[in-house]
Amino acid sequence: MSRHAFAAALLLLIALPANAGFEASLDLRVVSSDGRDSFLDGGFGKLRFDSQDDGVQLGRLRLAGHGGIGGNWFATVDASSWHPDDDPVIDLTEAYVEWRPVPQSAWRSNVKIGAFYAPVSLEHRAPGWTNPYTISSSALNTWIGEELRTIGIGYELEHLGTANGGRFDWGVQAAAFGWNDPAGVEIGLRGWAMHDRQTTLFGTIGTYAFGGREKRVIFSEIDNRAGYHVGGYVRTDNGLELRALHYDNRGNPEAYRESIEDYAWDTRFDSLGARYDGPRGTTLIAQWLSGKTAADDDPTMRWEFDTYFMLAAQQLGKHRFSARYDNFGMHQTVSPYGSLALEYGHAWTIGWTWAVAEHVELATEWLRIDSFYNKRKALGENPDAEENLLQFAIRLSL
Amino acid sequence: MRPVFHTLIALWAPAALAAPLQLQFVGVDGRGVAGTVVTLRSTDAGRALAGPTAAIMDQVDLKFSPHVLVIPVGSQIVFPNSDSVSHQVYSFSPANKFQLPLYRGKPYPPVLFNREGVVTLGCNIHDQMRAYVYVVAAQYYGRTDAAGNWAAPDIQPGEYDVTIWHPLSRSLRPVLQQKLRVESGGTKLTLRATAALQLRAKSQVPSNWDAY
Repeated sequence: MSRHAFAAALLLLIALPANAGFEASLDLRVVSSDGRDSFLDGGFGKLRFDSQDDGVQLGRLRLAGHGGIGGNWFATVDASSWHPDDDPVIDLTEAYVEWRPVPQSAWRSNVKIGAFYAPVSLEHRAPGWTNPYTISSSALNTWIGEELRTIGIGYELEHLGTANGGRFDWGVQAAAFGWNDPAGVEIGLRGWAMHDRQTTLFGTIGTYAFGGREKRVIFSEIDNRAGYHVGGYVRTDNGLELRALHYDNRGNPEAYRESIEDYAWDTRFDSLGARYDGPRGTTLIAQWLSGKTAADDDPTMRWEFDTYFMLAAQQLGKHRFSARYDNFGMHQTVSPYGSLALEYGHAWTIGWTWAVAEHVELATEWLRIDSFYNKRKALGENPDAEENLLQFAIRLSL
Repeated sequence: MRPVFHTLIALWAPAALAAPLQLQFVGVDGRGVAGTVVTLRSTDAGRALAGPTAAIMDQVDLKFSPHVLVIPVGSQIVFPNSDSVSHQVYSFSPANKFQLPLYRGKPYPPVLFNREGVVTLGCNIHDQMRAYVYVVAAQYYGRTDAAGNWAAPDIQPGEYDVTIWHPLSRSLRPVLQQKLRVESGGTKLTLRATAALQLRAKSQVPSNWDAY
């Protein structure tokens, strides 16, 4: 896929619909961190902002458009910039067209074609795949934002039972995709992380890989084999939602692409989640994910990973208070040559957002991650790390 | 024809014949239930029903406004969109199926609601948007206040079928139906639910969330 052709097509989509809605927002941060050398710089630190990044930082600049493009077709384009030095400096996180006919009965179908998120995160419910609770996402959904994107076609069938007096709505989804073969490289080589940066479609993400500090491409087709995910949800009329997803990129680990120096990682996982929105502004979320990945035909290149988190949030007028506990682990399954990769850790996040005015929101969070990762020794670091991050955000939106 | 008929009725039936009705609807716990839809239909099949009206169901800040409309059969509703984003309003309720393709402003003529029943409104773009239209075939109708009270100052005495609905009920069927007698000197009564209502909580989630 030519980058320029794709970008031109998307610009056209933005320009087309007369009824399009546009969103623009700027998130500026003041950051104080004692984090280890960030993964973005090729280190083993788990934060986006490490101890070298104290001060004012760009959180996110976002431009998005959504509109009807004729009949029952809609187009969505979401572009963000996460750092002035990123290449490209502003790039797409999602871009897709959707066929979404008006339901004639309780049954509704929709088809998405393009690049979009699999319906897995129960945290990211605000526009732009944004987490409205804490600035940094759970380890689980941080990884989704880093390494997963469905670039292909997805179908969803829903039953909107509550419109006819039923107790719940439900839906099932299936998608086939390509260009997600490197997914797994971060979790396998770096382990888990916690932040809000999403890897863009033509961008890269840093990691310590294959003995050096690198920028990895995540969205690339290497083995010419389609992956898939299937999932579903149930949403009751009293605010409970259950969600499940099985993902398998069906990577052929022996396939290798010279241009991005990476394998087709064979990554698969299952995720289950529950969310409850109570009548007095209370929200509870729990989500779990467990998976494995493999690269190369080398039997040592096999990893398993799992994580869960629990979040409680309370809306009080214009204020939202949130607290989350994360737990994560990753290990290599076979290593006849010693040096088995092993990571485990947990984290606490406290978040507060305040909708000061219609177009202004203030957000702050304190995040502490305690983790052990034996590969830190490769950089001469203590494998045990305690990382703290305090950040304030001012968010301006159109 | 109808205005003439009404005028004749008004001339023939002096105001003194009208009587006040004060009604409270309470749950099994005895507490008044706010937002209840009350309809009264005379058991005298010869009496004229309330005539059609024109109503507005606006869309403001990704919400329908009002959340509930009660209209007589044959009424028309106009659906302006006061938001800056487009909406796509639909209903697949048997009582009235319709759709208004993606729009902003007020591009469409009013929609006719000519069948009795509950019409659930949705927006195909914003699933959090939900509202209800109660299309009633009755002489009198309204909604209870915060304390569960509804008053009609000038009801014609006689026997009525009273129907109680609730938009947050987990059923499109009435919560309660029974006979009611309005005396010539006026009537004040409390209707009690026969079973716990188990009303749905109204969502606290912002309307632009959860657009997967």
